[in-house]
Amino acid sequence: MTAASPKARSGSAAPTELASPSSETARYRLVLAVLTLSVLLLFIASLFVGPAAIGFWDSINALLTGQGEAAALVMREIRLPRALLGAMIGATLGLSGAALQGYLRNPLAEPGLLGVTGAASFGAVIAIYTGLSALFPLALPLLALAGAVAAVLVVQALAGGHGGSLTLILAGVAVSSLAAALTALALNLSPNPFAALEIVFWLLGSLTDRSMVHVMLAAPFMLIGWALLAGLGRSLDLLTLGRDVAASMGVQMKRVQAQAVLGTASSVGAATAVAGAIGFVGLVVPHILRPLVGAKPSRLLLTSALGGAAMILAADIAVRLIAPAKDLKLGVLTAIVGAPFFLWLVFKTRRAML
Amino acid sequence: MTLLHVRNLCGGFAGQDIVQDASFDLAMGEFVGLIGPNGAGKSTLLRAVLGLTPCRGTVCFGEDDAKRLSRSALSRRVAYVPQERDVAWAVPVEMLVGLGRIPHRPVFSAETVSDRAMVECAMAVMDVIHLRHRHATELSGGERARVLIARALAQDTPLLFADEPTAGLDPAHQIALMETFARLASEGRGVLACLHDLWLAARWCSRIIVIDGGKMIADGTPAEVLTFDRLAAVYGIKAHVGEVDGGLSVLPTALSGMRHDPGGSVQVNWKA
Amino acid sequence: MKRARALRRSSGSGLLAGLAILAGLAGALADAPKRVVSMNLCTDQLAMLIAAPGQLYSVSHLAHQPQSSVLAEKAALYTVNHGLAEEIFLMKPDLVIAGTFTTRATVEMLRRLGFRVEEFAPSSSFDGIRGNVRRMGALLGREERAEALIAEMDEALADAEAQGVTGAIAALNYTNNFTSGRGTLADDIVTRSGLENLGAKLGLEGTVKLPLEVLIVSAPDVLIGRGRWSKAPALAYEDFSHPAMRALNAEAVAAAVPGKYMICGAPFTVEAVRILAEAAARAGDRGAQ
Repeated sequence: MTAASPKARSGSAAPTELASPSSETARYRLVLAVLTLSVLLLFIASLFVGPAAIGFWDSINALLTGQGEAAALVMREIRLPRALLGAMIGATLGLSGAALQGYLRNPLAEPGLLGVTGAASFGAVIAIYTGLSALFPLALPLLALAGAVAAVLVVQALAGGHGGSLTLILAGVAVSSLAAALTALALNLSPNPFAALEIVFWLLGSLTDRSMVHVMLAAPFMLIGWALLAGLGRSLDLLTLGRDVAASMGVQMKRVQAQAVLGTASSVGAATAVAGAIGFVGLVVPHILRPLVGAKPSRLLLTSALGGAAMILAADIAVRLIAPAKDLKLGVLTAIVGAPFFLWLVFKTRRAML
Repeated sequence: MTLLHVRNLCGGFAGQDIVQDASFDLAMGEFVGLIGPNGAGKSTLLRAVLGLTPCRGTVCFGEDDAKRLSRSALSRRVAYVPQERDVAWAVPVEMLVGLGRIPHRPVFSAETVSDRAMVECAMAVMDVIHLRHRHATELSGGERARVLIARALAQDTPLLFADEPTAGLDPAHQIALMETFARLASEGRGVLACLHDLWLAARWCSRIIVIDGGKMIADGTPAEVLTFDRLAAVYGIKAHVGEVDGGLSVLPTALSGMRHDPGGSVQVNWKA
Repeated sequence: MKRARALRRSSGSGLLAGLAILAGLAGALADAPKRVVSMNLCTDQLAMLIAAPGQLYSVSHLAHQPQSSVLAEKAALYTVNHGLAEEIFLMKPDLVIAGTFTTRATVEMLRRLGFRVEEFAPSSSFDGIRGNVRRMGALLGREERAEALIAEMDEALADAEAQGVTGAIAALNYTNNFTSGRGTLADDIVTRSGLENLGAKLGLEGTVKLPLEVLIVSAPDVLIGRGRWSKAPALAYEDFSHPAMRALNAEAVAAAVPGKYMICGAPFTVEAVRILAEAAARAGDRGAQ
């Protein structure tokens, strides 16, 4: 191919410009490094924040050697699982937000807004309050997963393909309201007087006093979900050009759909099953990181996972510092940050929506 | 050598055939213009050949039946530029054009030097090098159209399908694009483009297929196909057909009244 | 209005006792009520203990539940109410007894309808219990019965207090990690049983959250639970099976005080002191080994 442009723009085709993609890649690596470092620092910080006053060196000693009976219990059985779950759930929400946005080609797609976390909550509520999960522990993540799959499929049937942002949000609102109502109904019908008070946990989420049991229960489902979503990179890049072009460039839409739906449902389902519905992380994190990675959907996957982990760890530290005695729900904080952000995003994209 | 072989292709949407019984071949070196009025089925024909819409009939790429080609194998045979120029994300232009190289790379492998060269070349051909750092979503319609065609050129396939590629381009870029397509064909590729600009089709296409009401009603060289009577019958227009500067020129001048209706269902009386 | 609020704030103090005496005088002046309806679990139980036969007409539905009510069997003798104004209106009582935690709207509605409504603040100490029992006795014209109950209670209390061993630290550990600090009936119960209440030691006041971490690090000698309310599952019980909690359970002496003895302050609250005094003795034995 030789140039046949109507007006040759001198200088613009100079080969020195060839260096630019590597500068883009260098910036991507820098973003990854900064995010990894902040996740590590926040993870460590999370281990040292809590209502029990344990000295810094005692904490480290207790964590690493198991010495100091009470301190070791606190570090290993309470703070470590909390920090691990924070990182895992944050990564899940960030990654699934980025993947859903890429797959639906819409910056407003997010597991919480699409009703995926709400429906997963409902599944988890059914598993716990009917006593099913006491007999068969895997019922908890499995029912949460089933709820999440149902939500993604309903939203996609209503708004996938050629639906605009407005249809997407409306479908998500319908699904999440229904899921929230069913969750409240199931809890109110429980004969246990405490059950009704736990609606807040399922709608807003929390990491308080979760244990290694929860980590082990959620981890396999999250890992499967992450693997499925991480494999979407190339297809999501091509989907930038639209579904037809993506298909003509080798993307098998049915496989991509299965991967996106199951990956989101598996990881978000497991996250919700152990920590309730934590909203807006999947919306805010990819949006902040997008300009830093040149908006390339494949590069947004890993960075959003790291960004989500950092955000949840930071929020969970903040929850413990702001109101140590009040057991403030994690979802309260993410919503206070996320909801105004969502409004601003709707305001910004409304011309495209209507 | 035949690059594309289509026989008795019917299809469109489930339960409704927009395209009826289309049969044609496309050989190396041909630049075929697909013309016809709005809603004639030009876009649907392209999508049916690409397997993007349900259809019946035979489609072969070279010797291979399309049904037996995987999506990724197909993506190395034909590149497609649809009418919609919607880009979902604010991706820099050169990254967008670089997407064209993905079908040639194994999974998880990085861009090679030859990939880079191909992208640079495609951007140079479509005159978008100066836009390389701009976001694809911020470009004007014509600029974005050129970027998207550059993406298809970077895909470097024997066949190129383009749906109304000249819409929204200024005359200089329209002519440049037609020359590029003609040159690609002369280098041994095949180009199939839906066109509305009859003067562009007349001058640069090597062959023209006319489609109306879902049926192919003419297939031949521009001089054979673009006659006064046929344009009146298909489009309901009066057109000046003649030779200007050593090439065929078609200049629509007025509506001609009653339009011939091939399907028996549409009757348009422009003057009524 | 201001004074009423002040009174409520200082519930269980001398002021309340003063109020009880005033109410008692008022009760003695009027004829004793003949058709009494109680709409609060705690006043239900006091009324059942003190009322003359046939005097009490209805008690709340909570009084019928064995988890919350010590007198659940006796409650079956009375008509059930759910604390709804409409329901109470149709019962045509000459005295309505409510708790200060009963819905304000219901109480005000009943007063507007011309009913005599007496409100009782929950007792936050054994002094408070004595005051409430005396006031109930005065309202129902049963002062002698009330004094007899108090005398019986004080005797049993002295016995139970004598059993206890001082020094051991006890943590009240309710569902959802709640505990009781200073100024609560539970604190008075724990202290009288010869144990030191962890909540009070940590400077907590009222019934508040005690983070699991703090509980673990405090390593109490006795762990006081209320037992399960319901067999139905709830997250509220998950903390009891948290690995860190299980480790603590293995170390500490467990004492289960059924909730019904601690929710309401009444003469039977002595039973809670007795149970804890036994636990204190066990903790003392363990410490001696």
